Amino acid sequence: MFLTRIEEKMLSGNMGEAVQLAARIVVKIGDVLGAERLVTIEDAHISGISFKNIGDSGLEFLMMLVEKNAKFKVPTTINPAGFDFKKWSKMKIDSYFLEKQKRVIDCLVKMGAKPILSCTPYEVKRIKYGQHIAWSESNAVLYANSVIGARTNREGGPLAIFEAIIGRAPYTGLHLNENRLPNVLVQISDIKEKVSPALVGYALGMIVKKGVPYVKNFYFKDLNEVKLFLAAVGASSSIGLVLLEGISPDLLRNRRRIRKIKLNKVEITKDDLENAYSKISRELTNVDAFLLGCPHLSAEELEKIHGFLRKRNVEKRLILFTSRQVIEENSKIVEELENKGVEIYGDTCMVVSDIRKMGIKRLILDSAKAAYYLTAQGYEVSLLDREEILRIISGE
Amino acid sequence: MKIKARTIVEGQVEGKALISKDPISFYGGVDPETGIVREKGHSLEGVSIANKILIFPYGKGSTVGSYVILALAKNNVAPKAIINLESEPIIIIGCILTGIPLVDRPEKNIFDIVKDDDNVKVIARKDSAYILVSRDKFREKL
Repeated sequence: MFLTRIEEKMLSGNMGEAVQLAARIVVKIGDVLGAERLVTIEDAHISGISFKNIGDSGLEFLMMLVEKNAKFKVPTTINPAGFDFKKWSKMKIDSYFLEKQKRVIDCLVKMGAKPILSCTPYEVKRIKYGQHIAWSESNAVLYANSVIGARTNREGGPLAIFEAIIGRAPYTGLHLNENRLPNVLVQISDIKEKVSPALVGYALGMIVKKGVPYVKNFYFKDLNEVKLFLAAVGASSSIGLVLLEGISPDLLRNRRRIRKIKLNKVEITKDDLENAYSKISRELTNVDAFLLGCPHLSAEELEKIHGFLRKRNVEKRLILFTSRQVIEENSKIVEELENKGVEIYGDTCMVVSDIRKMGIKRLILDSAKAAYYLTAQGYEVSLLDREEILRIISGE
Repeated sequence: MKIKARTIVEGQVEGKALISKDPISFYGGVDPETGIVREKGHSLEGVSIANKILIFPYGKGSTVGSYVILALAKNNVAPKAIINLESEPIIIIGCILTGIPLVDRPEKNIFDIVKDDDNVKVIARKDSAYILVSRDKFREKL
Protein backbone atom coordinates (compact mmCIF):
# COMPACT_ATOMS: atom_id res chain seq x y z
CA MET A 1 0.00 0.00 0.00
CA PHE A 2 1.18 3.53 -0.73
CA LEU A 3 1.78 5.47 2.48
CA THR A 4 2.54 9.17 2.86
CA ARG A 5 5.50 10.27 4.93
CA ILE A 6 3.33 11.11 7.89
CA GLU A 7 1.63 7.71 7.68
CA GLU A 8 5.06 6.02 7.63
CA LYS A 9 5.90 8.02 10.71
CA MET A 10 2.73 6.83 12.43
CA LEU A 11 3.71 3.23 11.68
CA SER A 12 7.27 3.70 12.91
CA GLY A 13 6.22 4.46 16.46
CA ASN A 14 7.60 8.02 16.40
CA MET A 15 4.14 9.37 17.13
CA GLY A 16 3.48 7.17 20.12
CA GLU A 17 2.47 3.60 20.80
CA ALA A 18 -1.28 4.11 20.35
CA VAL A 19 -0.83 5.74 16.94
CA GLN A 20 1.51 2.94 15.93
CA LEU A 21 -0.95 0.22 16.96
CA ALA A 22 -3.83 2.02 15.23
CA ALA A 23 -1.80 2.60 12.04
CA ARG A 24 -0.64 -1.00 11.98
CA ILE A 25 -4.20 -2.29 12.20
CA VAL A 26 -5.74 0.16 9.72
CA VAL A 27 -2.97 -0.55 7.18
CA LYS A 28 -3.34 -4.30 7.71
CA ILE A 29 -7.10 -4.11 7.09
CA GLY A 30 -6.46 -1.92 4.04
CA ASP A 31 -3.97 -4.45 2.66
CA VAL A 32 -6.38 -7.33 3.15
CA LEU A 33 -9.18 -5.39 1.45
CA GLY A 34 -6.90 -4.39 -1.42
CA ALA A 35 -6.77 -0.64 -0.72
CA GLU A 36 -4.06 1.23 -2.63
CA ARG A 37 -3.80 3.95 -0.01
CA LEU A 38 -5.49 5.50 3.03
CA VAL A 39 -8.00 8.35 2.89
CA THR A 40 -8.16 11.21 5.38
CA ILE A 41 -11.42 11.18 7.33
CA GLU A 42 -13.22 14.18 8.82
CA ASP A 43 -15.42 12.49 11.39
CA ALA A 44 -15.85 9.26 13.35
CA HIS A 45 -18.63 7.46 15.18
CA ILE A 46 -18.05 4.45 17.41
CA SER A 47 -20.30 1.47 18.16
CA GLY A 48 -19.84 -1.17 20.85
CA ILE A 49 -20.39 1.13 23.83
CA SER A 50 -22.80 -0.73 26.11
CA PHE A 51 -20.99 -2.72 28.78
CA LYS A 52 -23.68 -5.37 28.24
CA ASN A 53 -22.20 -5.94 24.78
CA ILE A 54 -18.44 -5.48 25.19
CA GLY A 55 -17.92 -6.78 28.73
CA ASP A 56 -14.71 -6.71 30.74
CA SER A 57 -12.40 -7.52 27.83
CA GLY A 58 -13.87 -4.60 25.86
CA LEU A 59 -13.30 -2.30 28.82
CA GLU A 60 -9.73 -3.58 29.21
CA PHE A 61 -9.10 -2.89 25.52
CA LEU A 62 -10.25 0.72 25.96
CA MET A 63 -8.17 1.10 29.13
CA MET A 64 -5.12 -0.21 27.27
CA LEU A 65 -5.62 2.52 24.66
CA VAL A 66 -6.00 5.22 27.32
CA GLU A 67 -2.83 3.97 28.99
CA LYS A 68 -1.02 4.33 25.68
CA ASN A 69 -2.35 7.90 25.60
CA ALA A 70 -4.55 7.40 22.55
CA LYS A 71 -6.35 10.52 21.28
CA PHE A 72 -8.94 10.89 18.54
CA LYS A 73 -7.71 13.04 15.68
CA VAL A 74 -11.21 13.84 14.37
CA PRO A 75 -14.58 14.78 15.94
CA THR A 76 -15.87 11.53 17.41
CA THR A 77 -19.26 10.60 18.83
CA ILE A 78 -20.34 7.32 20.41
CA ASN A 79 -23.30 4.94 20.40
CA PRO A 80 -25.86 4.56 23.21
CA ALA A 81 -24.77 2.94 26.48
CA GLY A 82 -26.53 0.44 28.75
CA PHE A 83 -28.68 2.99 30.62
CA ASP A 84 -29.82 6.60 30.99
CA PHE A 85 -27.15 8.41 33.03
CA LYS A 86 -29.77 10.46 34.86
CA LYS A 87 -32.44 7.80 35.36
CA TRP A 88 -30.37 4.67 35.87
CA SER A 89 -32.06 3.79 39.14
CA LYS A 90 -35.44 3.85 37.40
CA MET A 91 -34.00 1.36 34.93
CA LYS A 92 -33.02 -0.92 37.87
CA ILE A 93 -29.32 -0.80 37.04
CA ASP A 94 -27.10 -2.39 39.70
CA SER A 95 -24.02 -0.63 40.99
CA TYR A 96 -21.61 -3.12 39.36
CA PHE A 97 -22.95 -2.46 35.87
CA LEU A 98 -23.20 1.26 36.61
CA GLU A 99 -19.53 1.45 37.57
CA LYS A 100 -18.30 -0.60 34.60
CA GLN A 101 -20.38 1.39 32.11
CA LYS A 102 -19.12 4.68 33.52
CA ARG A 103 -15.56 3.50 33.07
CA VAL A 104 -16.22 2.62 29.42
CA ILE A 105 -17.53 6.14 28.76
CA ASP A 106 -14.66 7.66 30.78
CA CYS A 107 -12.09 5.94 28.59
CA LEU A 108 -13.73 7.17 25.39
CA VAL A 109 -14.08 10.72 26.69
CA LYS A 110 -10.42 10.69 27.76
CA MET A 111 -9.52 9.80 24.19
CA GLY A 112 -11.52 12.82 23.06
CA ALA A 113 -14.99 11.49 22.24
CA LYS A 114 -17.87 13.90 22.71
CA PRO A 115 -20.14 12.41 25.37
CA ILE A 116 -23.10 12.40 22.99
CA LEU A 117 -24.47 8.87 23.20
CA SER A 118 -26.59 8.40 20.14
CA CYS A 119 -27.08 5.94 17.30
CA THR A 120 -28.20 8.83 15.05
CA PRO A 121 -25.01 10.91 14.71
CA TYR A 122 -26.51 12.28 11.48
CA GLU A 123 -29.01 14.16 13.64
CA VAL A 124 -26.64 15.42 16.32
CA LYS A 125 -23.81 16.69 14.13
CA ARG A 126 -23.45 18.16 10.68
CA ILE A 127 -22.10 15.83 8.02
CA LYS A 128 -21.88 16.95 4.43
CA TYR A 129 -22.20 15.42 1.02
CA GLY A 130 -18.96 13.89 -0.25
CA GLN A 131 -17.15 13.90 3.11
CA HIS A 132 -15.08 10.86 3.97
CA ILE A 133 -15.97 9.63 7.45
CA ALA A 134 -15.49 6.47 9.52
CA TRP A 135 -18.69 5.41 11.18
CA SER A 136 -19.63 2.13 12.77
CA GLU A 137 -23.31 1.56 13.78
CA SER A 138 -24.99 0.17 10.71
CA ASN A 139 -28.07 2.43 10.63
CA ALA A 140 -25.85 5.54 10.78
CA VAL A 141 -23.61 4.21 8.00
CA LEU A 142 -26.64 3.59 5.78
CA TYR A 143 -28.11 7.03 6.50
CA ALA A 144 -24.80 8.85 5.92
CA ASN A 145 -24.23 7.10 2.59
CA SER A 146 -27.79 6.89 1.29
CA VAL A 147 -29.37 10.17 2.45
CA ILE A 148 -26.46 12.57 2.96
CA GLY A 149 -24.06 11.20 0.38
CA ALA A 150 -21.12 11.15 2.80
CA ARG A 151 -18.76 8.22 2.40
CA THR A 152 -18.12 5.50 4.92
CA ASN A 153 -17.83 1.76 5.03
CA ARG A 154 -19.53 -0.32 7.71
CA GLU A 155 -16.66 -0.09 10.14
CA GLY A 156 -16.37 -2.51 13.03
CA GLY A 157 -16.50 -0.97 16.52
CA PRO A 158 -12.74 -1.18 17.29
CA LEU A 159 -11.80 -0.35 13.68
CA ALA A 160 -13.61 2.99 13.89
CA ILE A 161 -11.63 3.68 17.09
CA PHE A 162 -8.31 3.02 15.33
CA GLU A 163 -9.36 5.10 12.32
CA ALA A 164 -10.34 7.98 14.61
CA ILE A 165 -6.91 7.79 16.28
CA ILE A 166 -5.00 8.19 13.01
CA GLY A 167 -7.69 10.18 11.18
CA ARG A 168 -7.56 7.83 8.23
CA ALA A 169 -9.37 4.83 6.78
CA PRO A 170 -8.48 2.39 4.00
CA TYR A 171 -9.43 4.00 0.68
CA THR A 172 -11.69 1.20 -0.46
CA GLY A 173 -15.32 0.07 -0.64
CA LEU A 174 -17.85 2.90 -0.39
CA HIS A 175 -15.12 5.56 -0.20
CA LEU A 176 -14.63 5.04 -3.95
CA ASN A 177 -17.17 6.44 -6.40
CA GLU A 178 -17.18 3.33 -8.62
CA ASN A 179 -18.36 1.22 -5.69
CA ARG A 180 -21.30 3.57 -5.10
CA LEU A 181 -23.00 2.61 -8.35
CA PRO A 182 -26.01 0.31 -8.11
CA ASN A 183 -25.70 -3.38 -8.90
CA VAL A 184 -29.28 -4.50 -8.43
CA LEU A 185 -32.64 -2.84 -9.07
CA VAL A 186 -35.21 -3.52 -6.38
CA GLN A 187 -38.89 -3.27 -7.16
CA ILE A 188 -41.53 -3.45 -4.52
CA SER A 189 -44.50 -5.15 -6.12
CA ASP A 190 -47.86 -3.49 -6.14
CA ILE A 191 -49.27 -4.11 -2.70
CA LYS A 192 -52.64 -2.56 -2.03
CA GLU A 193 -52.56 -2.01 1.69
CA LYS A 194 -50.00 0.30 3.31
CA VAL A 195 -46.80 -1.58 4.10
CA SER A 196 -44.40 -0.75 6.86
CA PRO A 197 -41.14 0.71 5.51
CA ALA A 198 -39.29 -1.06 8.31
CA LEU A 199 -40.61 -4.41 7.12
CA VAL A 200 -39.78 -3.62 3.49
CA GLY A 201 -36.23 -2.71 4.57
CA TYR A 202 -35.87 -5.93 6.51
CA ALA A 203 -37.11 -8.01 3.55
CA LEU A 204 -34.84 -6.11 1.15
CA GLY A 205 -31.81 -6.90 3.30
CA MET A 206 -32.77 -10.57 3.57
CA ILE A 207 -33.10 -10.89 -0.19
CA VAL A 208 -30.31 -8.63 -1.54
CA LYS A 209 -27.80 -9.36 1.29
CA LYS A 210 -24.90 -7.21 -0.02
CA GLY A 211 -23.93 -4.70 -2.70
CA VAL A 212 -25.69 -1.47 -3.64
CA PRO A 213 -29.43 -1.80 -4.29
CA TYR A 214 -31.35 0.84 -6.25
CA VAL A 215 -34.92 1.29 -5.01
CA LYS A 216 -37.13 3.04 -7.53
CA ASN A 217 -40.82 2.93 -6.81
CA PHE A 218 -41.23 3.03 -3.08
CA TYR A 219 -42.75 6.09 -1.52
CA PHE A 220 -41.59 7.35 1.88
CA LYS A 221 -43.86 9.73 3.76
CA ASP A 222 -40.95 11.45 5.52
CA LEU A 223 -37.31 10.98 6.50
CA ASN A 224 -38.35 9.20 9.69
CA GLU A 225 -39.71 6.39 7.55
CA VAL A 226 -36.43 6.33 5.64
CA LYS A 227 -34.62 5.99 8.96
CA LEU A 228 -36.68 2.97 10.01
CA PHE A 229 -36.27 1.45 6.55
CA LEU A 230 -32.47 1.84 6.50
CA ALA A 231 -32.04 0.60 10.06
CA ALA A 232 -33.89 -2.57 9.07
CA VAL A 233 -31.67 -3.03 6.00
CA GLY A 234 -28.66 -2.74 8.30
CA ALA A 235 -29.98 -5.45 10.60
CA SER A 236 -30.69 -8.04 7.93
CA SER A 237 -27.77 -7.53 5.54
CA SER A 238 -24.25 -6.23 5.11
CA ILE A 239 -25.42 -3.44 2.79
CA GLY A 240 -23.93 0.02 3.48
CA LEU A 241 -25.62 2.12 0.78
CA VAL A 242 -29.12 2.00 -0.70
CA LEU A 243 -29.82 4.32 -3.62
CA LEU A 244 -33.28 5.78 -3.06
CA GLU A 245 -35.05 7.56 -5.91
CA GLY A 246 -35.58 11.22 -5.07
CA ILE A 247 -33.44 11.01 -1.93
CA SER A 248 -29.89 9.74 -2.53
CA PRO A 249 -27.48 12.43 -3.80
CA ASP A 250 -25.31 9.76 -5.46
CA LEU A 251 -28.12 9.08 -7.93
CA LEU A 252 -27.84 12.62 -9.24
CA ARG A 253 -24.08 12.65 -9.27
CA ASN A 254 -23.83 9.38 -11.19
CA ARG A 255 -27.04 9.58 -13.24
CA ARG A 256 -25.32 9.37 -16.64
CA ARG A 257 -23.28 6.35 -15.67
CA ILE A 258 -26.22 4.63 -14.01
CA ARG A 259 -28.35 4.99 -17.15
CA LYS A 260 -25.83 2.85 -19.01
CA ILE A 261 -25.75 0.04 -16.46
CA LYS A 262 -27.95 -2.95 -17.15
CA LEU A 263 -29.22 -3.91 -13.74
CA ASN A 264 -30.58 -7.24 -12.60
CA LYS A 265 -34.03 -6.86 -11.13
CA VAL A 266 -35.21 -8.23 -7.83
CA GLU A 267 -38.82 -8.02 -6.81
CA ILE A 268 -40.04 -7.88 -3.25
CA THR A 269 -43.44 -9.49 -3.11
CA LYS A 270 -46.16 -9.83 -0.52
CA ASP A 271 -44.82 -13.32 0.26
CA ASP A 272 -41.36 -11.88 0.95
CA LEU A 273 -42.84 -9.37 3.37
CA GLU A 274 -44.81 -12.10 5.12
CA ASN A 275 -41.68 -14.22 5.37
CA ALA A 276 -39.69 -11.30 6.81
CA TYR A 277 -42.52 -10.57 9.25
CA SER A 278 -42.53 -14.16 10.51
CA LYS A 279 -38.82 -13.93 11.40
CA ILE A 280 -39.08 -10.93 13.70
CA SER A 281 -42.67 -10.51 14.76
CA ARG A 282 -45.68 -12.36 16.07
CA GLU A 283 -49.23 -11.43 16.92
CA LEU A 284 -49.44 -10.45 20.58
CA THR A 285 -52.52 -9.44 22.50
CA ASN A 286 -51.26 -8.61 25.97
CA VAL A 287 -47.98 -6.74 26.11
CA ASP A 288 -45.95 -5.09 28.86
CA ALA A 289 -45.07 -1.96 26.93
CA PHE A 290 -44.88 -0.10 23.62
CA LEU A 291 -41.39 1.09 22.64
CA LEU A 292 -40.34 3.73 20.12
CA GLY A 293 -36.88 5.08 19.36
CA CYS A 294 -34.76 2.57 17.45
CA PRO A 295 -33.00 4.41 15.90
CA HIS A 296 -33.15 7.26 18.44
CA LEU A 297 -36.08 9.64 17.93
CA SER A 298 -35.25 12.99 16.36
CA ALA A 299 -36.63 16.23 17.80
CA GLU A 300 -39.15 16.26 14.97
CA GLU A 301 -40.35 12.73 15.73
CA LEU A 302 -40.67 13.59 19.41
CA GLU A 303 -42.74 16.65 18.49
CA LYS A 304 -45.03 14.56 16.31
CA ILE A 305 -45.62 12.03 19.08
CA HIS A 306 -46.28 14.88 21.48
CA GLY A 307 -48.63 16.53 18.99
CA PHE A 308 -50.66 13.36 18.64
CA LEU A 309 -50.88 12.62 22.36
CA ARG A 310 -51.35 16.20 23.57
CA LYS A 311 -55.12 16.10 23.64
CA ARG A 312 -55.43 12.38 24.22
CA ASN A 313 -55.03 10.12 27.22
CA VAL A 314 -52.06 7.81 27.46
CA GLU A 315 -53.65 4.52 28.48
CA LYS A 316 -50.78 2.11 27.95
CA ARG A 317 -47.12 2.01 28.96
CA LEU A 318 -45.19 3.93 26.31
CA ILE A 319 -41.38 4.19 26.42
CA LEU A 320 -39.37 6.50 24.16
CA PHE A 321 -35.62 6.48 23.50
CA THR A 322 -33.65 9.44 22.18
CA SER A 323 -30.39 11.29 22.70
CA ARG A 324 -29.61 13.49 25.69
CA GLN A 325 -29.32 16.39 23.25
CA VAL A 326 -32.89 16.00 21.99
CA ILE A 327 -34.17 15.69 25.58
CA GLU A 328 -32.40 18.86 26.68
CA GLU A 329 -33.38 20.89 23.65
CA ASN A 330 -37.03 19.86 23.99
CA SER A 331 -37.45 19.96 27.74
CA LYS A 332 -41.00 21.33 27.64
CA ILE A 333 -42.28 18.59 25.36
CA VAL A 334 -40.46 15.99 27.42
CA GLU A 335 -42.02 17.32 30.61
CA GLU A 336 -45.52 17.34 29.14
CA LEU A 337 -45.16 13.79 27.86
CA GLU A 338 -43.76 12.62 31.18
CA ASN A 339 -46.69 14.23 32.98
CA LYS A 340 -48.96 12.06 30.86
CA GLY A 341 -47.09 8.98 32.05
CA VAL A 342 -44.83 8.46 29.02
CA GLU A 343 -41.33 7.26 29.98
CA ILE A 344 -38.47 8.94 28.11
CA TYR A 345 -34.86 7.79 28.28
CA GLY A 346 -31.68 9.29 26.85
CA ASP A 347 -28.14 7.91 26.41
CA THR A 348 -29.46 4.40 25.85
CA CYS A 349 -31.90 2.35 23.79
CA MET A 350 -34.13 -0.72 23.93
CA VAL A 351 -31.51 -2.98 22.31
CA VAL A 352 -28.39 -2.21 24.38
CA SER A 353 -30.07 -1.73 27.78
CA ASP A 354 -31.69 -4.49 29.82
CA ILE A 355 -35.42 -3.83 29.50
CA ARG A 356 -36.21 -7.10 31.29
CA LYS A 357 -35.23 -5.31 34.48
CA MET A 358 -37.91 -2.74 33.68
CA GLY A 359 -40.51 -5.51 33.72
CA ILE A 360 -40.71 -5.93 29.96
CA LYS A 361 -40.83 -9.30 28.25
CA ARG A 362 -43.56 -8.84 25.66
CA LEU A 363 -43.55 -5.67 23.65
CA ILE A 364 -44.80 -3.83 20.59
CA LEU A 365 -42.54 -1.57 18.53
CA ASP A 366 -42.21 0.01 15.10
CA SER A 367 -38.56 -0.87 14.40
CA ALA A 368 -37.69 -4.04 12.48
CA LYS A 369 -34.08 -3.63 13.58
CA ALA A 370 -34.99 -3.69 17.26
CA ALA A 371 -37.49 -6.48 16.58
CA TYR A 372 -34.66 -8.60 15.17
CA TYR A 373 -32.21 -7.99 18.02
CA LEU A 374 -34.81 -8.28 20.79
CA THR A 375 -36.25 -11.50 19.32
CA ALA A 376 -32.69 -12.88 19.36
CA GLN A 377 -32.44 -11.87 23.03
CA GLY A 378 -35.53 -13.93 23.84
CA TYR A 379 -38.21 -11.24 23.96
CA GLU A 380 -41.68 -11.67 22.45
CA VAL A 381 -42.02 -8.90 19.92
CA SER A 382 -44.71 -7.57 17.64
CA LEU A 383 -44.07 -5.06 14.86
CA LEU A 384 -46.65 -2.36 14.15
CA ASP A 385 -46.67 1.02 12.43
CA ARG A 386 -46.07 4.05 14.62
CA GLU A 387 -49.50 5.55 13.84
CA GLU A 388 -51.18 2.34 14.93
CA ILE A 389 -49.11 2.20 18.09
CA LEU A 390 -50.07 5.75 19.02
CA ARG A 391 -53.73 5.02 18.37
CA ILE A 392 -53.62 1.96 20.63
CA ILE A 393 -51.77 3.90 23.33
CA SER A 394 -54.46 6.56 23.36
CA GLY A 395 -57.26 4.01 23.45
CA GLU A 396 -58.61 4.73 19.97
CA MET B 1 -1.16 -32.59 2.91
CA LYS B 2 0.16 -29.07 2.68
CA ILE B 3 -2.02 -26.11 1.65
CA LYS B 4 -0.68 -22.64 0.88
CA ALA B 5 -2.61 -19.66 2.23
CA ARG B 6 -2.28 -15.94 3.00
CA THR B 7 -1.00 -14.77 6.38
CA ILE B 8 -3.08 -12.13 8.12
CA VAL B 9 -1.97 -12.60 11.71
CA GLU B 10 1.34 -14.42 12.21
CA GLY B 11 1.83 -17.41 14.47
CA GLN B 12 2.38 -21.13 14.57
CA VAL B 13 -0.01 -23.55 16.30
CA GLU B 14 -1.24 -27.09 16.10
CA GLY B 15 -4.65 -28.47 17.02
CA LYS B 16 -7.81 -30.32 16.05
CA ALA B 17 -9.86 -28.99 13.18
CA LEU B 18 -13.41 -27.76 13.61
CA ILE B 19 -15.26 -26.95 10.43
CA SER B 20 -18.21 -24.66 9.90
CA LYS B 21 -19.57 -24.33 6.39
CA ASP B 22 -21.79 -21.50 7.67
CA PRO B 23 -20.39 -18.01 8.22
CA ILE B 24 -20.00 -17.11 11.91
CA SER B 25 -21.32 -14.06 13.74
CA PHE B 26 -19.31 -13.90 16.96
CA TYR B 27 -21.65 -11.34 18.53
CA GLY B 28 -24.87 -13.16 19.34
CA GLY B 29 -23.60 -16.33 17.66
CA VAL B 30 -20.94 -17.49 20.14
CA ASP B 31 -21.14 -17.51 23.94
CA PRO B 32 -18.15 -15.44 25.14
CA GLU B 33 -18.02 -17.34 28.45
CA THR B 34 -17.88 -20.89 27.08
CA GLY B 35 -17.00 -20.65 23.40
CA ILE B 36 -20.14 -22.60 22.53
CA VAL B 37 -21.99 -21.64 19.35
CA ARG B 38 -25.51 -20.65 20.30
CA GLU B 39 -26.97 -19.36 17.04
CA LYS B 40 -30.18 -21.29 16.37
CA GLY B 41 -29.93 -23.49 13.30
CA HIS B 42 -26.17 -22.91 12.84
CA SER B 43 -24.22 -25.99 11.71
CA LEU B 44 -22.10 -25.71 14.88
CA GLU B 45 -25.01 -25.01 17.26
CA GLY B 46 -24.11 -26.42 20.69
CA VAL B 47 -20.47 -27.09 19.72
CA SER B 48 -17.52 -25.40 21.45
CA ILE B 49 -14.92 -23.61 19.32
CA ALA B 50 -12.48 -23.46 22.27
CA ASN B 51 -8.90 -24.50 21.46
CA LYS B 52 -9.79 -25.67 17.95
CA ILE B 53 -8.31 -24.76 14.62
CA LEU B 54 -11.54 -23.11 13.49
CA ILE B 55 -12.26 -23.18 9.77
CA PHE B 56 -15.17 -21.17 8.34
CA PRO B 57 -15.83 -19.21 5.14
CA TYR B 58 -16.08 -15.65 6.51
CA GLY B 59 -17.55 -13.61 9.33
CA LYS B 60 -21.02 -12.09 9.31
CA GLY B 61 -23.22 -9.89 11.45
CA SER B 62 -22.64 -7.26 14.09
CA THR B 63 -19.54 -5.09 14.28
CA VAL B 64 -19.37 -5.87 17.99
CA GLY B 65 -18.01 -9.33 17.06
CA SER B 66 -14.38 -8.24 17.55
CA TYR B 67 -15.13 -7.66 21.23
CA VAL B 68 -16.49 -11.20 21.56
CA ILE B 69 -13.18 -12.56 20.22
CA LEU B 70 -11.40 -10.53 22.94
CA ALA B 71 -13.73 -12.02 25.55
CA LEU B 72 -13.18 -15.58 24.30
CA ALA B 73 -9.41 -15.10 24.62
CA LYS B 74 -9.73 -13.63 28.09
CA ASN B 75 -11.84 -16.60 29.18
CA ASN B 76 -9.39 -19.09 27.60
CA VAL B 77 -12.03 -20.43 25.26
CA ALA B 78 -10.84 -18.88 22.00
CA PRO B 79 -9.91 -20.97 18.96
CA LYS B 80 -6.16 -21.74 18.63
CA ALA B 81 -6.16 -20.40 15.08
CA ILE B 82 -8.69 -19.32 12.46
CA ILE B 83 -8.70 -20.26 8.78
CA ASN B 84 -11.11 -18.36 6.51
CA LEU B 85 -11.81 -18.43 2.82
CA GLU B 86 -11.83 -14.62 3.02
CA SER B 87 -11.27 -12.74 6.27
CA GLU B 88 -13.02 -9.47 7.03
CA PRO B 89 -12.27 -6.61 9.45
CA ILE B 90 -14.36 -7.85 12.41
CA ILE B 91 -12.43 -11.14 12.60
CA ILE B 92 -9.07 -9.60 11.65
CA ILE B 93 -9.12 -7.01 14.45
CA GLY B 94 -10.23 -9.60 16.99
CA CYS B 95 -7.30 -11.81 15.97
CA ILE B 96 -4.69 -9.02 15.85
CA LEU B 97 -5.60 -7.84 19.35
CA THR B 98 -5.58 -11.34 20.82
CA GLY B 99 -2.68 -12.75 18.78
CA ILE B 100 -4.79 -15.60 17.41
CA PRO B 101 -3.06 -16.74 14.18
CA LEU B 102 -5.29 -15.99 11.19
CA VAL B 103 -4.87 -17.11 7.58
CA ASP B 104 -7.20 -16.93 4.59
CA ARG B 105 -7.44 -17.71 0.86
CA PRO B 106 -6.26 -21.34 1.09
CA GLU B 107 -5.15 -22.41 -2.39
CA LYS B 108 -7.05 -25.69 -2.29
CA ASN B 109 -10.65 -26.35 -1.31
CA ILE B 110 -10.11 -26.76 2.38
CA PHE B 111 -13.66 -27.96 3.02
CA ASP B 112 -13.00 -30.99 0.79
CA ILE B 113 -9.67 -31.81 2.37
CA VAL B 114 -10.01 -31.18 6.08
CA LYS B 115 -12.53 -33.00 8.29
CA ASP B 116 -13.46 -32.34 11.92
CA ASP B 117 -10.79 -33.54 14.39
CA ASP B 118 -8.02 -33.81 11.79
CA ASN B 119 -4.68 -32.64 13.13
CA VAL B 120 -3.97 -29.28 11.61
CA LYS B 121 -0.82 -27.22 11.92
CA VAL B 122 -1.00 -23.56 10.92
CA ILE B 123 2.31 -21.92 10.07
CA ALA B 124 1.66 -18.24 9.39
CA ARG B 125 4.87 -16.33 8.70
CA LYS B 126 5.21 -12.76 7.53
CA ASP B 127 5.36 -13.61 3.83
CA SER B 128 3.89 -17.07 3.57
CA ALA B 129 1.36 -19.32 5.24
CA TYR B 130 0.96 -23.08 5.21
CA ILE B 131 -1.73 -25.34 6.56
CA LEU B 132 -0.49 -28.88 7.26
CA VAL B 133 -3.16 -31.54 7.60
CA SER B 134 -2.81 -35.08 8.91
CA ARG B 135 -5.34 -37.65 9.96
CA ASP B 136 -4.88 -40.18 12.72
CA LYS B 137 -4.38 -43.67 11.24
CA PHE B 138 -7.31 -45.29 13.00
CA ARG B 139 -9.65 -42.60 11.74
CA GLU B 140 -8.61 -43.31 8.15
CA LYS B 141 -10.20 -46.73 8.51
CA LEU B 142 -13.52 -45.45 9.82
